[in-house]
Amino acid sequence: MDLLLQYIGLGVSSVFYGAQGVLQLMPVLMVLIGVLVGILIGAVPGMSGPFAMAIALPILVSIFGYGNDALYPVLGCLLGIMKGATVGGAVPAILFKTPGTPDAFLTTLDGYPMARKGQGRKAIQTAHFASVMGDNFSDIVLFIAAPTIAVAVERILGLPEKSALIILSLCFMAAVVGKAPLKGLLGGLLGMFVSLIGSTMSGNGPRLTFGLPELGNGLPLTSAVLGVLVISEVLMSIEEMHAAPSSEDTTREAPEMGPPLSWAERARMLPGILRAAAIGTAIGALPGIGTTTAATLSYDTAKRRSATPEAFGRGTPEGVVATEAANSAVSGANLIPVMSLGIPGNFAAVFIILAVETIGDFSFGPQVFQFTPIKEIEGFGTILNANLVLAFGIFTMMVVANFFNWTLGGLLMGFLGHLVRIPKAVILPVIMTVSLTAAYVQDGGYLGLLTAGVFAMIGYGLRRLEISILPFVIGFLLAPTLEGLVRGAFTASGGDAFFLLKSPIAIAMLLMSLLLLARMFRQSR
Amino acid sequence: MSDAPEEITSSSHQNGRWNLWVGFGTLAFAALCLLVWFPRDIGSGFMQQNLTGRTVPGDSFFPILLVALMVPLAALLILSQLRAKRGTGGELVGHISLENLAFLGRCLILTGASLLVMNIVGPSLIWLTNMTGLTTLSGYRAASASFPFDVSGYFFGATLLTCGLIRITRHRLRPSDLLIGAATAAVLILIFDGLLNNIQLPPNADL
Repeated sequence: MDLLLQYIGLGVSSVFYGAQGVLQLMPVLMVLIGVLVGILIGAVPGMSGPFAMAIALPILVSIFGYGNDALYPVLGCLLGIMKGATVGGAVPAILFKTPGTPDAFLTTLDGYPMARKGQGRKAIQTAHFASVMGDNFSDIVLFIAAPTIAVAVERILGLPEKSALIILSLCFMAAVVGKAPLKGLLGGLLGMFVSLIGSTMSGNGPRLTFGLPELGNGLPLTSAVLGVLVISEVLMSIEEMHAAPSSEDTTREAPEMGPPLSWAERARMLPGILRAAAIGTAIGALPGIGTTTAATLSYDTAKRRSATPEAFGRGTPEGVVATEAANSAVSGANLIPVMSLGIPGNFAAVFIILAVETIGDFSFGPQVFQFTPIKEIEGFGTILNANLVLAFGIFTMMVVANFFNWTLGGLLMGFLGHLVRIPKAVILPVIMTVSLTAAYVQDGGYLGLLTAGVFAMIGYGLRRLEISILPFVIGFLLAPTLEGLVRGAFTASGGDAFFLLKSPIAIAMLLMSLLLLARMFRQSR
Repeated sequence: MSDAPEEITSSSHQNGRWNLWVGFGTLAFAALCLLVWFPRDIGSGFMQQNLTGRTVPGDSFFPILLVALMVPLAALLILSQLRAKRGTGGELVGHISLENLAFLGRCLILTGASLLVMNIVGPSLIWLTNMTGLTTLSGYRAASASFPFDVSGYFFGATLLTCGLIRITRHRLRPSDLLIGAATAAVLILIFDGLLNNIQLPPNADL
């Protein structure tokens, strides 16, 4: 327990004090900037947290560089954006029936009728209270669950089991994301395959480069993910708007705001918030299942358990609480598989992992949570697990982001209604220009730009063919880890062809993967 | 009344072929990888001997495993499409139409034109100022770190890209859109060139 408290203390102080013991405010400042950007971006229709994180990452890396010192400011800003966006998306959903982020769609069901009834302020404050409470709840679960799972995984799972776990995760993700699971799994394998370009494992020179020396260092990661996730999505949206141009109404007036939410009303909401947050956290901890599923499940549950189910859809705060607390709870919980296993479960987590892969020598996974005894050795320094200190530093920044969400989020939400007037026809081209510039700037000129372009085409093709993008991106990011594990397991088994079937846990996981595959096949007919 | 369902059935049946194309395409890709690409572009085989004489996985080990896993999945996809039950949802089918390709072509041309503008405006500006006697620079490379030459190409290219995309989206371009395009480029120049060091905007990193 003492050791745990020591590491927590070191983690907290590492955010506020630099290596020389000097007070540093940059990480906190970047969290603040991230939260503000996230709240603003969340309120702009057509934008979302992961979108903003994708564009911010190359800019942040350009500002702070690739050293270990850059990790806190960059991660702080990205975490701030992720959390801020969960709050901002509700405002246009409530005032104009236009969700700022996709996960705020269900908030329109009751938020908008509340605003129409002259309870706009109450609806917005309900959304803010439920959203931040839900987010806080899932963060607490993350702080407890991530180290616990990591320690258990490190004790129980060896190389074959870890390999089987990644295979199972990918199968699960393909099965639950989208309506074409077989193609989703194929996309995951394709993502893994593409990530091998330019890599090497045995010192025989880079692989699969077509003889191009520019690919010898591998593909630029950020540009590739920017292309496949953001640029392809922007292309799709621009094409849809081109095919069906709509006259954008930018003159919408905000409805009557009405009285504020009282503390007694907040207290009455707590049971509903806790139930919704628990659903959101459980859903968020599973890779591939997004905020919309959490919000839908929570809304249905709240409606079934309500004494007045007929009020749902007509402007009841219970409905706003159910959707907002659940979709915000996903954001903390989706970091559970990231921090404990190194497996990203959604797009926001992809950019957190990408930042860590790009900057410094820290990496997520069960090895982070090894509680190495802290020892002072004279003439040498202190022996400790620096990664664990960083992990607690990341938790600290999440708490700071929550504080800003509580305070500034509440203040800002009242002013966000105007952002709904920004036309999508303008914002999408601006995002495209910023994305292409960011790819050029961060990843070495035209190589970065070309990579982003090629991956944008791949992403566009996958989306048009109804192949889920998430398994492709997760496969792309996890391939180096999986290759290392599989090679290690194979070598350790002495070259046994059945090296993955050496333990009951690995067999169980692979059997579950096969069952998922059988389910996918049955669904696909 | 009777025409519409027939059209939908015919259309979805036709579109259903796209899953077959994805399946057969994957099989062809796997064959190409295993027979042509991997042998020529990977330095070591499926297995190799290390310095101690121990047999360990080579660089081809994992790529071959991945491609080998694609084969049964592609076969399952083809099988599911050939034996699809009528009236069931099944695997969602997408398609890429000629209109989609034309749209992508238009975007590529616009991006290419914007990059061309980024590349030629800077040198053209140097040529113009040299001609008018304002500068005596030997070329763009000599001025690629001096304002405004270093950002002139990016400013016009990025403005063209933003405005071009707004034009595609809206089917028209308003004067305010030109201002938005120029403002976007100016803000990006301010961030990347003004506030940050060692950052080069297009085309300066590739001179």
